[in-house]
Amino acid sequence: MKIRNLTKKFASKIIFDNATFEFIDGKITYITGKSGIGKTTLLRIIAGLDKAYTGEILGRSDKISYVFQEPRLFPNLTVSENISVTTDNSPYTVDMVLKLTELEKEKDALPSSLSGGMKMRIALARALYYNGDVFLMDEPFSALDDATKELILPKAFELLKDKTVIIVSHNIEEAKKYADTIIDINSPLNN
Amino acid sequence: MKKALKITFVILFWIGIWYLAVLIYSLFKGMSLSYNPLFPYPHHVFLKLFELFSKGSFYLSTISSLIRILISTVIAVLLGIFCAVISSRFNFLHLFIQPLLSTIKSVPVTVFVFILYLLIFDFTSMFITILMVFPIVFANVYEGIKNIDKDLLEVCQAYKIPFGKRIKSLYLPTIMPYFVSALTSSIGLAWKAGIAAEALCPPDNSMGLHISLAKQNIDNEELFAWALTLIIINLLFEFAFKKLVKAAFKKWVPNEVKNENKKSN
Repeated sequence: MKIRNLTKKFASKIIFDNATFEFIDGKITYITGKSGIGKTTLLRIIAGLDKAYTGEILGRSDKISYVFQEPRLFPNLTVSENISVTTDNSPYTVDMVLKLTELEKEKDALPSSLSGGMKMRIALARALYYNGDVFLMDEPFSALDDATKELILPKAFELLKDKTVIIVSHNIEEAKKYADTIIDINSPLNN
Repeated sequence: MKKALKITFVILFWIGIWYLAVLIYSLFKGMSLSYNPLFPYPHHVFLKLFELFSKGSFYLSTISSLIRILISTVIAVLLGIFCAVISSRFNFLHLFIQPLLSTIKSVPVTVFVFILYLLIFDFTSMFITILMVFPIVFANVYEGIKNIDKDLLEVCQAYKIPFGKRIKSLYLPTIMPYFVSALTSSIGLAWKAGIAAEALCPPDNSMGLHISLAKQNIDNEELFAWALTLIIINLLFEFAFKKLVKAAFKKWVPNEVKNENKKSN
């Protein structure tokens, strides 16, 4: 997937000026950079949630899994309903993605009864269940402790090995550990 | 059992206050202490009420009024939901409806009745009920739609969740509390405004007609009896409505809220 000549402005502030990005299929790309530089904006543009830009996106799939910066769960749906609501045609079962994210016991719980880390894992399980061709994740692991990360991430990345995975993160160590490519957009105008 | 005893005690207390009020009024006005036609004792009103119960016209009028008010409430609710949905979609329509809402809010019911009296005599009470209920349902449902979580809408957009599922998992759970609140406020108001309009502009076979006739004949015992009937019907109506809402609303209330309700009960 390639983004060409991307220009994005918020009022008078230029976020991207004729920038170009390339993401390799089947690889994990980490995007790093300081706050407010446009990392989340880039994900939103790729996901089609922000259409106010110029430039073109080539080779983008219609099926995109998006783990937002916040869990964004439906408060009236149980954990399993929050996952299954996204699609009726998943190759995985809800139980399988719940097991992968260590949440089997919370299957029937409502989000309000769970911790921040658990909610974020549900968001990850939801994205896995949806099985998008492109995986966008915005600081998905910041609410997880190291032990949980060690337990979940290898299994999740194994499931995502054929996907285009784009992860926004501040955590350089984590990026170095899991990324195939790291894009630093601290100087977006030069990308 | 304890609850029934408490309710009986409260009712008896207020009947006692009623007796006392009639007694004081009669003494103050120098009228007979055993019978007051202007401010009747409770037992005289209850006797009148039983007399009404034995007449076929009582049931015909009560059922006719009930049906009229129910139909108008349903029309107002549907209209309110429809206008709220399209107004939330097209902002200019919300602006368009504002003058109508301001007019309904600021003009007294009596003025509307007098205007409508000459235009649509038989349907005045129905129209008045619609006028009273519509703004409440519209405002609440509109507010509910506007309060839908934008972040969750983005989730729906990102995952291309179908419209039917969006309605069930996002729209209904957000809007239903506003809608139920609107209905709860509307029920009593619809009943009061509808009967008031009937009394001012009485159609055939209506409670309002009997109230109007009782007023013309200065038959205050009958007037009080009809007032009691209105109270009883309104209480039954509210009770049935609450049960209905509880059953219909249950699936959209989160479990922990239900549990909290159970604890507080």
